[in-house]
Amino acid sequence: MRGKIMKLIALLFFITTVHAENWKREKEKFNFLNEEITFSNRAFCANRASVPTDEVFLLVDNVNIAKAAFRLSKIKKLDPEQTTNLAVQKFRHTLVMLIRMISDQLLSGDLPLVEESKINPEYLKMNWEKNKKINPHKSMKCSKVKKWGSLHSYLNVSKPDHTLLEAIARDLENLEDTFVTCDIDSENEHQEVDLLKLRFERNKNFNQIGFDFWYSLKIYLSWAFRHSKEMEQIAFPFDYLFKSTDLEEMILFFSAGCESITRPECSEGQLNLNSLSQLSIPKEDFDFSQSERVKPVTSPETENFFSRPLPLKEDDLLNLSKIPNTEEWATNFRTHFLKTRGFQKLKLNRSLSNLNVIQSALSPEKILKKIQLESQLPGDEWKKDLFYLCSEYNVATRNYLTKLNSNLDKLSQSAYIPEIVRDLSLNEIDSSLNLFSHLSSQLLLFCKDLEGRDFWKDVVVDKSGFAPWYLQITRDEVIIENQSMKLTSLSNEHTFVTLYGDQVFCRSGTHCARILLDSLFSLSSLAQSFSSIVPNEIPSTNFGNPYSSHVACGAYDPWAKKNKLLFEFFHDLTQAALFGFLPTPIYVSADLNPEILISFKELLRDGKVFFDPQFSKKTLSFSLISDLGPFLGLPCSLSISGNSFKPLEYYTFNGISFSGCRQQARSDVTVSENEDISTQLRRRSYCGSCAINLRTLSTSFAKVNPILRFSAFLVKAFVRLSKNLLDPHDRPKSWAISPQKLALSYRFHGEITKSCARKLLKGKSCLSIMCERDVMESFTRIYDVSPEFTKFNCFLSKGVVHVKECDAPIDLSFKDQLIVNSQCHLKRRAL
Amino acid sequence: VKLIILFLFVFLKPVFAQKLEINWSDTFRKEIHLSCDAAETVCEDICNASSFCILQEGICPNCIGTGIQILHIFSEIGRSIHRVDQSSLASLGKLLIQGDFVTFSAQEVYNLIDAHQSISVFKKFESLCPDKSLNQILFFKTHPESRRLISPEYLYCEFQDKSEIFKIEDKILIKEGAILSVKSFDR
Repeated sequence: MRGKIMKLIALLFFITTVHAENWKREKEKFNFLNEEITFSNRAFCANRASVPTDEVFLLVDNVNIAKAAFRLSKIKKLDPEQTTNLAVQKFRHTLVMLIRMISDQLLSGDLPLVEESKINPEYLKMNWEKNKKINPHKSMKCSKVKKWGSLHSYLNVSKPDHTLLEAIARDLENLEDTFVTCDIDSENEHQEVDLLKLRFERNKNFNQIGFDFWYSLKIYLSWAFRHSKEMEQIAFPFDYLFKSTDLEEMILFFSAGCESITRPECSEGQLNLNSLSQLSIPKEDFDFSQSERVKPVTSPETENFFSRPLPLKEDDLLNLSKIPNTEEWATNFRTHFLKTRGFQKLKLNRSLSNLNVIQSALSPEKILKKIQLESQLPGDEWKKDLFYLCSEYNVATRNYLTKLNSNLDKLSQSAYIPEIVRDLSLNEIDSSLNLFSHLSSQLLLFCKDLEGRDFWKDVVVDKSGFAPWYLQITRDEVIIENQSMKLTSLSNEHTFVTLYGDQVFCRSGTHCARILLDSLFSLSSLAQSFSSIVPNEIPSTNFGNPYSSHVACGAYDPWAKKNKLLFEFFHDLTQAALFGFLPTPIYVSADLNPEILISFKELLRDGKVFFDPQFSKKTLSFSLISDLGPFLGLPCSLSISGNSFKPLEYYTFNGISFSGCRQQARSDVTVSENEDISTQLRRRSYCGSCAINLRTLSTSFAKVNPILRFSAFLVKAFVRLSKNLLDPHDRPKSWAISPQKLALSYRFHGEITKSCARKLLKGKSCLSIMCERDVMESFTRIYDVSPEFTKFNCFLSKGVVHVKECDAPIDLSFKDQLIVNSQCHLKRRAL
Repeated sequence: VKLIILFLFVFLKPVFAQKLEINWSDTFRKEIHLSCDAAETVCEDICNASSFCILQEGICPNCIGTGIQILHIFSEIGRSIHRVDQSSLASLGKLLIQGDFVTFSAQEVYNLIDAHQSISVFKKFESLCPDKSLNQILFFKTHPESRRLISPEYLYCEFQDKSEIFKIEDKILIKEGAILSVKSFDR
């Protein structure tokens, strides 16, 4: 008897294995429906930032190709519309084919991953030509995205509810409304921008090589697009034209989910690229003048980044729900990006030209002599200009010189500047700075002398006459510069330096000196985002994960948060026991400036933190680090409860407050012991996210009854634990939805109920019998039918199904393979 | 009468020693079409033909775009990029034979900076040549391998009855005086 049972089990196992094999093969065929859609909350998404992605969006800007093709068609007297459409189609096709070719060879190991130190055209050529593969492996799937819709809601929703799941199911039924294959092109029209979704085969060691794969793909693509024979064949007859394109300016890769395309780094370059997502804001909400990149004086992205609150996924930083149509979204993004970048390029070009002229035509002595002469001329306009000049040079020299120097130094050392421009103009930056230094030292003495003589008595100046950078620094007013910015009150009859063709460069020595300073400020403002103005490689960003920079910069560490939950609880309890009877044993030196952003790490490093000698420094440091964890490195403002800062006073350290945005009060991480302080801090405008709380010894807990302190710590410990356990955002959570199960549930029930949604979120189907679930999943994947009623016998591997599309019942048999017996002609799915 | 006609033919015919034209082939390749006077050997030196040469122009990296390099070129034409001395087709011929060059003209496929057929572009190119010219072509030297643009080299000016070649440069010139004359880009 026992032997028979064993045989039966073995037989069942065999049948199941064969069965599974068959299903597996079928699953490969219907790849899309088998790719799980993963929803995740903030913490989970942040955790995934360190994993390389296998799915990206590719934004292709077709406008330059279209413009060039249009001009060519006019010269060749061809039909402009036809030529333009054909060129755009070829461009997209060539890109997709090359990316596929490169990814095939990289993933199969035929093409080696590039080593950054070895990159040069010869090395790339050698690798490319040595490793030819005749049969493409097709490691990449490409689809053109028509709308964001529910199928991309994982980008801005943490946990889907039953309504969203139903919307996804509906969109799965009509996949062609969201995606079309990359090969399908409308013959009569082309889009300004294409948004393609590329999915790559994730082989076993993809997690190890993923980031190198992406880097290599971009490098090979740049090279192959200009030099490979394959490109010539694919792109013909536009190959010659395409080789002349500035490809790096025309395409952008960005991650299509929480995983990253570029290894997250806390670098200015990466923060800059990631912050480009702000340009996706709808045009009606886009305020060009408020864009940090175009301001007369820009602050480093690192500063801007930390001043922004930690977003939730639902904050929808990419504005997908506001602009659901991808063509509109991409065009909107492109418009803002180009407007910003174009403004910066013109500013760069204009400033370099100005410095070139001044450097070639004038010396500090010549300018100063002219200014001195001008101060003796009658008329208020001369005095006004001199007032502007003296004010501007005063502020620039006294308050801004170091920053100006370091920014210009950064710019002149940039490796991305094309040689033709570098040779002509950039060598002028250093000498222009020297000219400015020489001029300003003498000029400020002269200004002081004028002031001493009441030179500006009764002269009224209009603030609009100041240079925009000056107004921003002194009055926090942002005026976006334009080409016609005059920087002088003088009328047209005055001339000092005249350009070829009688164009006046500057009207006076004062005017020339102001142009010099203004140009230096313009260049300085560009230094922060220069890599995105002149990209040296195909840009790629981690747009899909709004936390990748936060994780890289140590501003958010969900892993530590998760693992700290219980530790924190015990720590709190220990602290209650240890310190409940003692004053906080850490003191901070008083020579600190509350307005300066500083991290606790810096305080420790700079010796500004002192420990109570009766405690071991090592133990306390450890306790601090484990308590503050990721927040140690945050640049924070200093805040003191009670009295204002007093020199020579010691302060006890009272924790770090880290607040998210206002509406996410539940997810705020408050390490501070005093809630009043953190509430106060949120109102402080100079630092929106973090503050180091200090209190003077006189107001510290030292004077509080120790028993009360112990209870306070205990309460705090329990409150914090319960808050953390309920935290919906900072405990990593994810929900993988199976599209087949969702689609089947929807087809079968005609809706997704709340209870069905709960099952789907757990990875289960809403169909209860196991064999029925598997067979129905497969059946509805093959045939475009809506099942209404089923009857299954798993033991006999048979079933009957009634569908809307057929009056007669359909017999299903599924022993080794699925056999469908129907009197109706059932429509097969296109997928 | 015959003698007079012969005299007019010899001495009053247009002095078209050479004519250069930019052409895009049917497979969208940029070419230079060079017509030579039969009396000259330039065409023969360049392409072993007596009166007509077709020269292939190589690609112009990053020229279809709005990068700062191409922005600089199209902004500075007629400003810091200006004519210097007269030159000869023989000198230009050397560059053409090497093939390390890229051309820019007023009707340029590579100019995505200015509007198509913009009058200001025609004016900018016209300002490069002395007098009233019909056609202007700028020749930039390129790197033999990478083909990146190195520097502006020659300017071809075509007039009603003749054509001339000049050297060009991208540089600011200063005249000393009460009012300084500086050739450069207007701010």
